[in-house]
Amino acid sequence: MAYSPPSTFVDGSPLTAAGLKGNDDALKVYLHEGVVAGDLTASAWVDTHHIQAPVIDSFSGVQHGVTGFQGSQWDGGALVRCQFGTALLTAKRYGGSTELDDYAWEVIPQTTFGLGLRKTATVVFHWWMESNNGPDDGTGSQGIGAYMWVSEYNASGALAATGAKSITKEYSQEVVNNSAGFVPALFTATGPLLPYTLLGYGNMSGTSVFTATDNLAVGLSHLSLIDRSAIINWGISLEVYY
Amino acid sequence: MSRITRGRAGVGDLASAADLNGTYSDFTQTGALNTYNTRDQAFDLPHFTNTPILLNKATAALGNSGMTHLAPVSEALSTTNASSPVKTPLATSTGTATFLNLSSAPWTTASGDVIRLWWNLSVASSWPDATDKPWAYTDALGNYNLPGAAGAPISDGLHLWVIYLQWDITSAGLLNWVEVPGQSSFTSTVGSYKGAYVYDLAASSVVSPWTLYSPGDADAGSVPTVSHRAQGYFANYGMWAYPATGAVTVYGFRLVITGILHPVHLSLGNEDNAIVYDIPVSTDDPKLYYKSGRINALQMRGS
Repeated sequence: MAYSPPSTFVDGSPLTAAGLKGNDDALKVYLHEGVVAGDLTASAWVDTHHIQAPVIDSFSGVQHGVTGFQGSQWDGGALVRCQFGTALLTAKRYGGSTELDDYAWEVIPQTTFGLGLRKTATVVFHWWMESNNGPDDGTGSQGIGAYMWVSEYNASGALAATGAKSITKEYSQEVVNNSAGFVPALFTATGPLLPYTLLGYGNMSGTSVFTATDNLAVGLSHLSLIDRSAIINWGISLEVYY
Repeated sequence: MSRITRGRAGVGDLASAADLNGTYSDFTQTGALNTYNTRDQAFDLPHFTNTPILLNKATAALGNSGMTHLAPVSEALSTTNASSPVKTPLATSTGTATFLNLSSAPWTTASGDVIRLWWNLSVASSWPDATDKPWAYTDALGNYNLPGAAGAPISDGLHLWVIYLQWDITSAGLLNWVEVPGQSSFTSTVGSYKGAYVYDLAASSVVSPWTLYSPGDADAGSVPTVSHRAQGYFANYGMWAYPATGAVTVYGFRLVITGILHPVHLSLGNEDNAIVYDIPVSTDDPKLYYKSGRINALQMRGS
């Protein structure tokens, strides 16, 4: 409540030291801890400069502010930070228990954010990529049945791949291999039978929303049956709300 | 702190009780503390009440479990009569609807709120006889019978399935699904066709049903040998955003598949672009298969 002096002085009455000191003491209390909502202007007046300024976490490349995190990473332009997915990492080119193998999923380099959450938060992770998949028509290839799946993962620990990855495989997305290899016409190789631009040039996008606490890594992982896929363009962005 | 505007006492002024009382009451300025009393960066996370900018969030799985393309797989059929388009809500292979169910805790918007929604789905278009050419029937759109083209007639490759969004804003019974604002119900008349105008496809994603390709060399002035195949499985992705202008209570969101359509351009009036049902291609019974996916939604406050 607003400040109310304990003593009210009246003309003709003695002015005592105790009365003055009492009012001063009450004033000190009010000024230090007695300001309440009623003392504040009723209209909105807190401006952005009154709020704690956000900080840039140079390690993870995100901005942390009062309401949460935000940030993005991208390839930086054509082929600047071209990434890759490959069955050489996920060890599944020859097939097997693809559906069941949680451990075959591997992180796609540079596509992870590391966060130190201050409290329970909702994480919104967006991603997109274009990948050139194969052609992989060599011995052991699963041909047109070979895919690269990509899914966001999250893990405790703010460093990529330092905690157990949590992946919901049903939420993953896929692109198909350029399977049929190169077709010779006369004596000149004319390129893959199925054109990159329609079957093997995969454009994927995704968004995941989940709740997290404490330290967190969130990024992209893949499971590939294809010899190699060049992830030519890609981007990830992050929204975190406390 | 409080802004004190009383002038200081000067030599020769008389001191009265009222002056002294006023010195103290100057500190009682209800509603006076504002931006002038607050330093920069005075407020941090602990000072904010627990009213987050994010009001609601929800996620649901679509289709069937699993990530590979083995059974169970669901399917959607193509439209054979433009006056009664086939619209297939996403479900498991056994027919159990898969959608974002908010009926137990509906979302109610206030003016300024924003609903943001995203989905992805693994899809594959096919038809029973892969040697057939669905686009080759008389009056099919995008059918080019080019002289000298081995493999003709060929398609312009612009046919499409559409995956679009509906919501139920009537009741928790979830029996009143309607298209979300900005999304067509595919019943617009476009010349002699039925379909949707492109400006009315705010909550749609499209799927290409087939690929035509040419592995051979082309001689000048002629079309090379053309082959075709159905699209393999690939990821489809869409999003929608809704800035609320008032109270709307949302009980659920669901995705619906319809097709096969083809783009057209009106040469009259506003010369709008549209997509319309291409009935002849349904002769070959094309289907859109889907395996699994996800739908996410957020409600965020605007003030």
